[in-house]
Amino acid sequence: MELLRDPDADLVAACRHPEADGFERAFEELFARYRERVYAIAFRVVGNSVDALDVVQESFALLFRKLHGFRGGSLFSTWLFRIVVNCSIDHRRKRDSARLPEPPDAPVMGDLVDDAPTPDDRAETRELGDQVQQAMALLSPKLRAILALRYLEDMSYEELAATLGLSLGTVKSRLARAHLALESVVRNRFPHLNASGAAPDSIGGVG
Amino acid sequence: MSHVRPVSPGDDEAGGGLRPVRAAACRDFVSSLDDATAPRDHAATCPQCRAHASFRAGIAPALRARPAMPPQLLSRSLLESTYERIVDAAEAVSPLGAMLADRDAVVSPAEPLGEQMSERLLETAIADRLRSVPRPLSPATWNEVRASVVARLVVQRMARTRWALWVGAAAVVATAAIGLSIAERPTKRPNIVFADLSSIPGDVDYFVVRHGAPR
Repeated sequence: MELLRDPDADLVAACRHPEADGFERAFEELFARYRERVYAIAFRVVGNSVDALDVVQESFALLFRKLHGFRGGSLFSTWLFRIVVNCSIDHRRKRDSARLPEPPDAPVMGDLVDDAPTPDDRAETRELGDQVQQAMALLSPKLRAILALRYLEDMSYEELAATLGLSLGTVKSRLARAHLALESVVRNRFPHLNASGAAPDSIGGVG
Repeated sequence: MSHVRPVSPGDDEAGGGLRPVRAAACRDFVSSLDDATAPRDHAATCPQCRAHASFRAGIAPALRARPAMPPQLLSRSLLESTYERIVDAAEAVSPLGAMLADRDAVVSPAEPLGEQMSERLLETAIADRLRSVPRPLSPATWNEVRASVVARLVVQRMARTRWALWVGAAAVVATAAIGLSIAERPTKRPNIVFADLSSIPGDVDYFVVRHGAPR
């Protein structure tokens, strides 16, 4: 059986030694490799681009501070996304407890990038995306985080469990609650939206 | 029949409140919707679960769509400011901070945290100091300790005795005062008369005496 090697192993090894010559280049490459994925998850949890950018910086700073503690027992990306989720949730909680207003530039989902086949489909998806992001803003940060990881990173139950440090059972129940809560909010707040999709038989799974 | 309590915007899952209530079969179905191998029979008999499954399928594209990346994310300045943050944090570490940071290092998710933590704790200089046995005290030192403890006890006992004396004196004074006030009231021999209940004046004390044989 061929063991799967962590694709980031070499970069992580180079980033452990700040005094070495290759450190800056390794850091740049790791940053470029993950910044968009980190930003997307952070955006889903915190709800606006200004805070999401803060979370990106905080996450990478924390990651490098703790890198000596990463023993390679999981994929580097799993560990990174756990840091991102925790930073995002903390950031959101601090904002909520300080009752700070949302940054003025919060673009919600107006700038969604989607790959729907036709312009009409893209417009419809964009409108649905705006409403969905607004609906997600009403969920707790933990539910937003699990939905973000499930859909943006296409994580399986096992991957979600490893990333979030939860049991499989908790992952399943939390994901179910997140979907039910999202459905309830969308149906109550945006009843005109046609969020219905394919029949149950054709729904894909993550296994 | 399963039902779902609507979750209002102030609710917990959507902001603070009630959880949807579902029958066990509905909960199992909803929990397994992401599992491609799970059966789908339940949807044929439960309209709400069928609607939920349909909703999930419809909402998936929107949830998968990634937000557009802002220009700042792709800029050199964000990379440099993040790098500066990392370097500043590394330079600000003191020897104690390094020890503590080492002790509190994050362990990757798959490893058993308990063993890791105990191993790492044993490695640090702080742990070495905790393990070392302090040198024994001399008899003279122990005598001083004993004397100071006894002196403290004596002081406390005297304070308690003083307090008890004050309380006793206050009680005596209060009793005397009450006794004097009683003694000063003129003694009056009571005049006892028997009268009907209906004809008792309003300004005298009276007792009711039962008429007739005791029961």
